[in-house]
Amino acid sequence: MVAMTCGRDFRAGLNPLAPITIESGMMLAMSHLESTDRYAPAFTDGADTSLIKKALEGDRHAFERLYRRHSGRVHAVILRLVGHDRARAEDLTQDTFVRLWQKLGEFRFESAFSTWLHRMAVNIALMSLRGEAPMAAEGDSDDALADLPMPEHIRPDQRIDLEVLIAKLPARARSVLVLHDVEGWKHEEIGQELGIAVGSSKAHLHRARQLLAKWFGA
Amino acid sequence: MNELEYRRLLKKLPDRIEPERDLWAGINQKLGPAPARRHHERLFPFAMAASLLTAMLFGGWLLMRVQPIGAPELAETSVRSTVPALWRERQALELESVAAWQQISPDDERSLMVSAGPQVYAAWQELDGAETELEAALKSAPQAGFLLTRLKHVELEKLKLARLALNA
Repeated sequence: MVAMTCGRDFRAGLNPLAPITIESGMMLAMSHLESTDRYAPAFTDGADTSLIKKALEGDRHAFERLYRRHSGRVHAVILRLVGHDRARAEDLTQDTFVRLWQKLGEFRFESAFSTWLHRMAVNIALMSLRGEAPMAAEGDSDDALADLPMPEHIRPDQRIDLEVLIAKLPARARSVLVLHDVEGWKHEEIGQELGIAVGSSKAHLHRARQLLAKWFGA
Repeated sequence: MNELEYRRLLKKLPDRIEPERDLWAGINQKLGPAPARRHHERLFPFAMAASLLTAMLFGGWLLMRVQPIGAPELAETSVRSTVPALWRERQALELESVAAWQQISPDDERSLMVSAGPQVYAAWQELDGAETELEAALKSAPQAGFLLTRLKHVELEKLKLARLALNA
C-alpha cells in the first residue's frame, strides 16, 4: 500500500489539503469523498430568472431559450443514466422539458434553477429505468457483478473510454456511480432517490468502481 | 487503473452532451397552456387573512381565560402587585373608621343614620349589607384583589356617609 497526496480538484467541496491513501494498482472505494453537485451554481443566475418569469407568463420563446441553455447538461446526465441509449435519452430529455413547462410555477427562486432542473431530469430517467425489469434482477448482486465479463466490443488493446464502460455497468450500479462520481451527489441523496439505504449506495459504488478497474485492467 | 487515473478520466467527461437532433420542435408541440403559478402564491392573501383571524380569536379567548369579565384583578401578576397595597389601605381605613365609630355602638350608629334622613339610612343599609357580603367573600378568597378594591370603596362610602350624618 502506498500513501500519497494528490490534487483533489476533481470534485467540488473536497479539502484540497487532506491527504488520501490509495492502493497501488487498484481503486479504493473512495467512499470518504463526500461530494456536491460539481456543475451547479449556488443561485439561479439573472438570465435564467428573467427567462423563467417570461416563461411563466406563457412566453414560449423564453422557454426555448431556457431549453437551449440547459439541454446539454440535462441530456448528458440522462444519457449516462440510461447507458448511452441515445433514442431513449432523447425521448427522456424531451419529457423533462415538457414536465419543466408544467412544473415551472413550482420553482422557488431561492435555489439554483439548474440544480432543480437536473433533479427533475434524474427523476424522470430513474423512473424510466424502474419501469424496466427490476434493477436488482439485472445483475446488480455481489456475485453477478463480480462475474460480469468485459464488454465484448471493447478489446484490451482498444483506447479506454470511461463513458463506454460506465454505460456497460448494470443499471443500479451505473446509476449510483453516475450520480456520485460524475454528478457529485451524496450517498444520502442517492439513497433517497433510488429508495435504497445509504450503505447499499456505498456498496453499489464500491462494486461499480471495482468492476471498472477490472475492465480497465483486462 | 488506479485512483488517479480514474479521476483523470472522470474529469475528461464532458459536462454537456447535446442531443443529436434538435428536440425543441417536439417539445413545443407537447407544451400546453402557460405553466400554472404556485398554488400557495395564489392563496397567500387568503392564508394571511385566515391566520390573522385565527390569531385574533385565539388571543381574545386567551385574554378571557386569564382575566374573566368582572374580575379583572384576578390575574396573578396583578394580585401580586396590588393586594399588599390594598390591604394596607384597608387597614388604614379601618383604623380611621374605628377611630370615628369607636365611641358609637351599632344601635347608636343606626339611630344616627335614621336621624340623618331616610335616604341616608337606606344608603347606609345598602353599604352595610355590601360590606358584610364582601368580608364573607374575602374570607373564602383572601387573595382576590378585586374584592378588596370593592370593600375599600364601600368603606370609604360608609365613612363619607357617617361624616354626612354627623354634620346633618
